[in-house]
Amino acid sequence: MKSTKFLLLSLLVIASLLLSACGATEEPAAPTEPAAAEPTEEAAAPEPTEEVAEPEVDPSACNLEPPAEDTEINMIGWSFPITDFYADELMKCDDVENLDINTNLLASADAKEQVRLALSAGGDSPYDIVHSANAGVAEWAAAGWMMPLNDLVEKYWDEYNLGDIPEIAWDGATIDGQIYGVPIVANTFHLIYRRDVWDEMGLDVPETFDDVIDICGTIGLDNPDWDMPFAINLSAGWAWEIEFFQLLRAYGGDYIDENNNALFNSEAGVKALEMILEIANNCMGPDGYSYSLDDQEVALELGTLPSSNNWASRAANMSDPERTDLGDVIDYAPAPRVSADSPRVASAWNDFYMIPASVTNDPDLIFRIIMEAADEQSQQEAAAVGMTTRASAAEYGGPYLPAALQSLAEGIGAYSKSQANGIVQAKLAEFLPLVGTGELTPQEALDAAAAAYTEEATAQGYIE
Amino acid sequence: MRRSTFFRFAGPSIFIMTLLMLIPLIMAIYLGMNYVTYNNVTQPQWVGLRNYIEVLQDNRFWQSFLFTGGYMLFVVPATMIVGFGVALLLDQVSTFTRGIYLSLFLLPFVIVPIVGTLMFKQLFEPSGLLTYLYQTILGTKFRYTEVSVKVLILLYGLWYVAPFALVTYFAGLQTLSKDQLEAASIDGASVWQKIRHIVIPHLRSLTILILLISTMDAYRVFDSVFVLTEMNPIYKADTVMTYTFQTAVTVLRLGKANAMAILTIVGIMIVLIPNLIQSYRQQVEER
Repeated sequence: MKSTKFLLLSLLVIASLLLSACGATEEPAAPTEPAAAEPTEEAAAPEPTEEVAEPEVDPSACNLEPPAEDTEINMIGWSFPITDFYADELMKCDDVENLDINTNLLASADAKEQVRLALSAGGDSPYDIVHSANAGVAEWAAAGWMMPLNDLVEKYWDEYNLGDIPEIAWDGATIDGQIYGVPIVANTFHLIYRRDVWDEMGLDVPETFDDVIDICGTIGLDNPDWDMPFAINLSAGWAWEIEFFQLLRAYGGDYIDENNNALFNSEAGVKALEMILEIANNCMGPDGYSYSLDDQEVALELGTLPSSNNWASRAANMSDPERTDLGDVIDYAPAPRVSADSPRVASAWNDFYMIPASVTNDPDLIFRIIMEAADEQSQQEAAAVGMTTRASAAEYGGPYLPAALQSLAEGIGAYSKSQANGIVQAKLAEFLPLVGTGELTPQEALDAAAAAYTEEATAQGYIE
Repeated sequence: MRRSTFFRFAGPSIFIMTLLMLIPLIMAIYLGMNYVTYNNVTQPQWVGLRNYIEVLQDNRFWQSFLFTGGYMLFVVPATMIVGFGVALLLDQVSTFTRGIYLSLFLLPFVIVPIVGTLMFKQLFEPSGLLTYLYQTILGTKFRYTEVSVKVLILLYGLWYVAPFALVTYFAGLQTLSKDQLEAASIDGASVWQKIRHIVIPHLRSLTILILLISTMDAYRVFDSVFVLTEMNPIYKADTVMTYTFQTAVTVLRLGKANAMAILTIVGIMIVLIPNLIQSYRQQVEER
């Protein structure tokens, strides 16, 4: 009897441990990498400042004159490899006398929520530097929470060679001629594929999604060597929305008109959803609807996925020998089109550093701190971990960069900067995945999303 | 006790409770009666009960309410049964062994919920250990579907909350007189009869405590659903909390989200008040 109880308890413990310990060994892998890199950077940072008598000689240091009084600069943003790098660059200014830099890198939803809470209530901003993506420009700058930087950009244009950042990146942060952010990160989609497999099977690099679907047929959906022949991200509502947006634009459609009325429930919208379904059915199978970006990245690195239309920021890891042995055979090509003469199915994304309108510290000082973190030297180093914005940093990037730059140049561009876009995205995320399960037809899903969007946008005053 | 003496002792607690609970609650009720987004936080627009009516007419709210109810109906009793069973087993082993087991069983309770859920999810990802075992044993791939995701949410709820019931029941068992059990054994009572007539009545007040706390926890479930579903509507696994979060964060309707929060509190109260009254009566009877 006693041994039975002992056995029962042991089984329960094993089950419990399986759920905790097994996961625990794997889970921290991603977070520990940047965390492990941090101390090395910090430990290395003081050395050159001590050795080099004239700080301006070292372009990698923070070459600022110390402010007259103690100044605390707080930055908020979210974490991924290249933003972690920029946060470390900001921290270099902590070595400047009288400057105290604090960086808060949270999960993206948390960071955005903190910014909204802090800035919507009015009063002095607790943050001096706010990390934002394209959607943040539309929402936060249009709400009047952010400071136009035109004067500062003009003042420091030559000193920091700001002409090195292409106009398309500045456009992402510009509303009605006012520049609200310094572009620090670029991102887009492109094809990632296994060159060895392509060579072995005699495949051509696909130029359109029809080509992709043909290739999926050649590789075979049920091929046991692969999870699936090709993947896009349909694992969440927001992921559907991004894929839909890119295809919609490639088919010549758009989300909303100048009066914020819904345009996406159009013929182009239906075509976009039908293309998603075709890709899902021919290239991904039932597993595709839960195959996340992380899954795709791991599968590409492990060699269980031969191709994917994926983020450039994800490609930065594919050449890292610590993550994969396949760096030499993973290749990149511009994102496919929907037809020979359409734009490439690749949206343009940027991340920015912005300065809130209600900061209490000197905006000039804050701007220079941002620029010290995003100057030419910094961006050249940043190019190793992600896609930067300076043209001069391009040659320092990974092998994916030419494909990413071509996708950007020939792609569908960025989201429009209407505040109503946030509602469109939320409503599409709510309905589009139901097309994948067959609960709604493409037209029904788009009409339902359009009706829900119109109701909410009208309630929020975006539609008269 | 004199009223003045009572207030002298309870005053600080009442003050803190008012500050931390009552004022935010009143604020939430007030915001729920306003049209508020982040664009007009400082100048909310009074709309009376419109947000509350909108919530009550919202099909997704009721869907999320139903799933939350189903979650509660499974997780709360399952937690209590598993916790009770394991506590009984633990009570039978030696002090040294039970110390080891107890600390191991408490692991899920110690882990931060979001981290626990991430770890749990990783086990079921394409490269996860349990996905591999599932495929090896059953010969078919583990797939995220509406059913499998809901099962994972329920299993995680059970895994994560059961240690609380276990520890509470185990502590209760330590206060049970061994004489009573020995006397019952001498009288020929079976194991089940001893549990049924001695152990369960002895743990009754603790059972009510566990029921109350587990019910509140289950009603507020968020992390596991958020991580496991990524808010994907195909899983139809929204809970009241995740839907409130989406309303506030993705559509930025703070007034409506506050109305949902208040209705959630009302819902919890409807479930809990009968239990609280019963618990109070029992305490009075025991005195």
